Amino acid sequence: MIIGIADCNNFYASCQSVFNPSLVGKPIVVLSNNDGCVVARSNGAKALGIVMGVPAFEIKSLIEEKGVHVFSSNYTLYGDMSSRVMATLSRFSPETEIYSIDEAFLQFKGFDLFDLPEYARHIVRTTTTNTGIPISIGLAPTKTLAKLANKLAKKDPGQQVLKLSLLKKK
Amino acid sequence: MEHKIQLYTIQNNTNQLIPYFDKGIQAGFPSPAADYMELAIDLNETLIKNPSSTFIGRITGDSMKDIGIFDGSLAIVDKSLRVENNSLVVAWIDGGFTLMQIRNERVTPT
Repeated sequence: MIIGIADCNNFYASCQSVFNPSLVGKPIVVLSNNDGCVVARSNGAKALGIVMGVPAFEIKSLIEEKGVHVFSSNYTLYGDMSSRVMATLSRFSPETEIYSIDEAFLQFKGFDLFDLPEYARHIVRTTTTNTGIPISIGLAPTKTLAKLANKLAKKDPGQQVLKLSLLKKK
Repeated sequence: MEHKIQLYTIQNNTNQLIPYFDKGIQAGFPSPAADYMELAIDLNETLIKNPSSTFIGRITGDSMKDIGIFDGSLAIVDKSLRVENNSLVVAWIDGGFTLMQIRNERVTPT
């Protein structure tokens, strides 16, 4: 059986750009409660070398210099967008397990005759269109390997789906 | 910009059943059967087919008044629908959400 994990790309940063599409492609960071540390970064912000968890005051000059868009966290918005993504994902698998605010495992039991990578690409397209949140999906025989597949899928630009298979033992 | 849209999220887990005149509302002598009416309509269910992809926006400006959309109207916006000719869409133009009508004008080469 194959397990999939759907993970939202830069979830908090993506939520901010759903209601302000001019932010798409720009460097965005979202700060923790009381604007302490960076808890989410768009790809543009990652490219500037802003690391996860860095205190906001340490990158103050970088933010001003590069015009990074900074947001306080808005958990009402993230909670609402999360439930929309989860409701959309649940239509595609008989069993979904919500793993965190922006991740869910999808069971693909009985999907042997499906072209799963193609099906997963359909899930990615539908979820991204319907909710405005870009996601990627990793497929593998176990949950741990699915996480790894997802990580690899995100590393490869333009590729939102990746399937890992086990090699047959000799 | 003269017609902007302010977007809201929706509360769609509530149920409000409202009596529903299935046979149309008649001008003139009221139907004696109206007293026995049992049909009810839930507007959440009727107007919002895909809650997970639906947003509600308030229209400001009256550039669409010719087609009956006035300042202050509420728009139910479903992101999962496909755009067709004459669809009303919420578009992101010049830094703001705007209500527009899509018109597919085919230019035939001469």
